[in-house]
Amino acid sequence: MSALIRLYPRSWRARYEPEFLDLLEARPPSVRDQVDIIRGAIDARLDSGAPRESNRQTRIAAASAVAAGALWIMWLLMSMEAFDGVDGESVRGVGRIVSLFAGLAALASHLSLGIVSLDRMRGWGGPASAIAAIGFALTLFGGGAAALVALVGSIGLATAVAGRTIPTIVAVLWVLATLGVFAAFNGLVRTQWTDPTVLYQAMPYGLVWIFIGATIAMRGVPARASDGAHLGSAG
Amino acid sequence: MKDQDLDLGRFAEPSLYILVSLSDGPKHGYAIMTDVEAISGAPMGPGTLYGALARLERRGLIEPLEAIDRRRPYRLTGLGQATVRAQMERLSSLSKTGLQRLRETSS
Repeated sequence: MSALIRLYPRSWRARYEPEFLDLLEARPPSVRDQVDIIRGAIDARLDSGAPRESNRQTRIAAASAVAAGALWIMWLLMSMEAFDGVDGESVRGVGRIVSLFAGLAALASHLSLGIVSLDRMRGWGGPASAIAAIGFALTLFGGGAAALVALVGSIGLATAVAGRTIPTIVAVLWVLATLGVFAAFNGLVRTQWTDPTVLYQAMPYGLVWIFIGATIAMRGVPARASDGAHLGSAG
Repeated sequence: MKDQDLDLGRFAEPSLYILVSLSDGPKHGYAIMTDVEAISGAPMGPGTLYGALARLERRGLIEPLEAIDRRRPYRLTGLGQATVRAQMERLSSLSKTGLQRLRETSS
């Protein structure tokens, strides 16, 4: 049983372990209880301790992030299919369509997270969110400079919401996945759009956004200072 | 129960049962668990119990008392009492409305 308790964070164990062990000795846990303990440990690791809230705005943001991630992956897979048996200018055309949808997906996900985090992130979060949005909007028209602007804005937004709207580890994965996207598109340019397999490097980006959406849906976002102190409000 | 009622996500309903359980006096974890199971008729897992206890404590609705051996009792705070009363009145009003409408429909 102690193995299950070790799944909880150290700070949680320091506070609750003795009484939790007492409870488990008083009623040895069934398989169902053990699953519940594991779920509780995951929750304790995701829960920063600050009051959180979940409302329509956060649910829209979560749904946007999941949809954007799924759209991203779908279009990557479709584009890799589309590359087969196509060459020359047609390939560039397919690439532009892929870039268009990928850019739209990235724009939607960044905007949704930026809006829901606007009053809960570090000072540079607002400008970073705007830079990312402008960068991704400009990538719809193509251009390496626009992609660089989007990269800077995206990483800025990730660091601004890290440990607040989303756990720090998720933000780190986000930054790494963003670098993967730029490596993939750089690979496409380098290979003259002839090697679609480099797009696999962009796949984690979609997965990260699905994970960000699921995280927001499960945990909500940090409550604003004015409404974190009570529970009784009905909406 | 909707999320916004207690603003506790999946812990909203277990939290309300815990608050009701503590409304007749302090209890430790095992006593809360068995009492909640008697009230609700459904089992409450240890992970859910302590996830909810931690949230209620952070929000100032319950407070821990001095541990006896390893057992630490919890009791409602003033805010916790006000919250559970407001929730019970709201549910009571909902219940009355529902039953009234059912009577009107069946008559």
